[in-house]
Amino acid sequence: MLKSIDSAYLIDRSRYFRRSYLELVYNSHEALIPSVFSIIDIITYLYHQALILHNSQYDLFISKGHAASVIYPYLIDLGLFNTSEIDFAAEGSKFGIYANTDIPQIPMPSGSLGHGLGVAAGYTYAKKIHSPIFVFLGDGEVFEGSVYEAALFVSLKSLSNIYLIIDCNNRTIMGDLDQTYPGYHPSLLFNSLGYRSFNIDGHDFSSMHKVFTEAITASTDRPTVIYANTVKGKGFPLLESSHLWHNRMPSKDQLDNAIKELS
Amino acid sequence: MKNHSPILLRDSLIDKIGAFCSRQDNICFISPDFGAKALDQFRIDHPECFIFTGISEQFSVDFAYGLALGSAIPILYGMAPFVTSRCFEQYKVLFGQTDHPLLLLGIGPGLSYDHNTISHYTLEDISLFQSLPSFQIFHPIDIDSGLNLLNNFVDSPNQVYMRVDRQPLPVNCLDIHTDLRRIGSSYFKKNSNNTLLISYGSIVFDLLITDYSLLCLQDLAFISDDILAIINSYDRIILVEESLPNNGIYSLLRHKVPNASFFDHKFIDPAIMFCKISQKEARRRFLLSSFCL
Repeated sequence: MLKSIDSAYLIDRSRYFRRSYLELVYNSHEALIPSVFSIIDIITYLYHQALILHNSQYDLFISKGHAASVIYPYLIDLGLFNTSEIDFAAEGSKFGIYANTDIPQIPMPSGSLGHGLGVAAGYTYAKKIHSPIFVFLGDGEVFEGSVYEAALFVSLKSLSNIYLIIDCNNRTIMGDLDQTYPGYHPSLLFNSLGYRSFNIDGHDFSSMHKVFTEAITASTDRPTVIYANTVKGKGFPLLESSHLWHNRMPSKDQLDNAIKELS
Repeated sequence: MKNHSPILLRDSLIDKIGAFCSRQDNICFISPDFGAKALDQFRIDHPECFIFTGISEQFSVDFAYGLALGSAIPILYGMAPFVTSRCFEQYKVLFGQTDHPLLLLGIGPGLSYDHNTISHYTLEDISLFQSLPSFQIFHPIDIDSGLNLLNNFVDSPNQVYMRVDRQPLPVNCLDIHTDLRRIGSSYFKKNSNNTLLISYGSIVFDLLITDYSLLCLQDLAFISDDILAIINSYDRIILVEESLPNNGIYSLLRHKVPNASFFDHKFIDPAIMFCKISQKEARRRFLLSSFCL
């Protein structure tokens, strides 16, 4: 059973984690902030519910590697690392933009797309676990053929403890998907494969709570896909404005302003 | 009485894996749709250990990583071209950056599937896996060597790519080629002339009938000091491999033998892509003709 939520509290927590993240990347010359801010509210919700990062086994697979570093503020919050230890993207640092398994809470390296669902399938198969495993994919990532291969296996093997969260921010590096690939939506794949599907507003905690409560407590023998409608860069208005911010680093002034706004 | 008839390493490996599965439940045998006679029985005897992942090589490697993450011992089995180059990024990103174990059994490397096209040739896999320092690349020349490596893997799981010839192999090379001696994982035949042939895989059996000294390597990712000393004692070295130019073990070997006054590399010419010839004819034309074989 999931805990009841206080949306105002969770909004505050998310602002805190966004600010914490910006402080971590402040001195770096490189970060992929928009991808992280796209899913940070959902991560906050799952973290608050102790559905991720609180267990002895892996429960979070961030396949969209651009957002892998989203967990750093939560690892600090758990007391596993100090802020000063996280030398983001510095020479030789394990705390990079992409996932590094030298950090014990990270199950798989990332960077290129399309690996997470297959890895999660193997992990749940070997461990024979029934508790929820959350896999984050980008909506653009679903184009990868390996996602289809894994999605088919997960469906046919009824790996119903896998909860696939598709970050539907409608953005890839080339632009907005509804412009660059009209008619595309990841549901074209997963719904046809028999996944149980839900939609959420990925920045609205009430919407999340309603759906996750139903998705996790209702019994099913099917894997679940949750289409999370999100805004890439959410909470940092400058970065929300254009797909071109995907891999651009804001200036110190711009970061200062964003941190101030989140304070 | 020893059996000297060649047999299939593939089937011997599957039988042995079945024996391991009978005593431990953490071995997972993954096949992205590639069968074998022995595998039919394995699937009946050990359904809990056998996972058919469908025709999906990329997923199969991701899945194998997940299994290893969950403390299982994954063995991935398939036709060499498809389980190597088609899904190489999966090895690079996941296994290449971690120490999670995997035994990859690539069946029919080189031009073994000569009745097909370039799609079924595996002439670049050694270079690919040499780029992942954690992988051992092993090409057994006899059944005992293959089974020995399997034993070692199950006892102490690491990352291994085993090239498994389609052709039947002798149970133990030393039983039928008494002029060979074993040095580490390699076999060596010494003749009196000052030319050394270096090779690996089933083509070694073609080279054994020459008058040259012959070094048969099995470990294709590491050259030991003992082996290097032998190589460097020859003035003339001819590396013969069923591989494309600048692939195979050429790059590994060439800089380790700087003093050889003559280093010749016999390889499969990329023109193979455009001509429909058998493995036997390709070996004769590109690799063996200069030895009058």
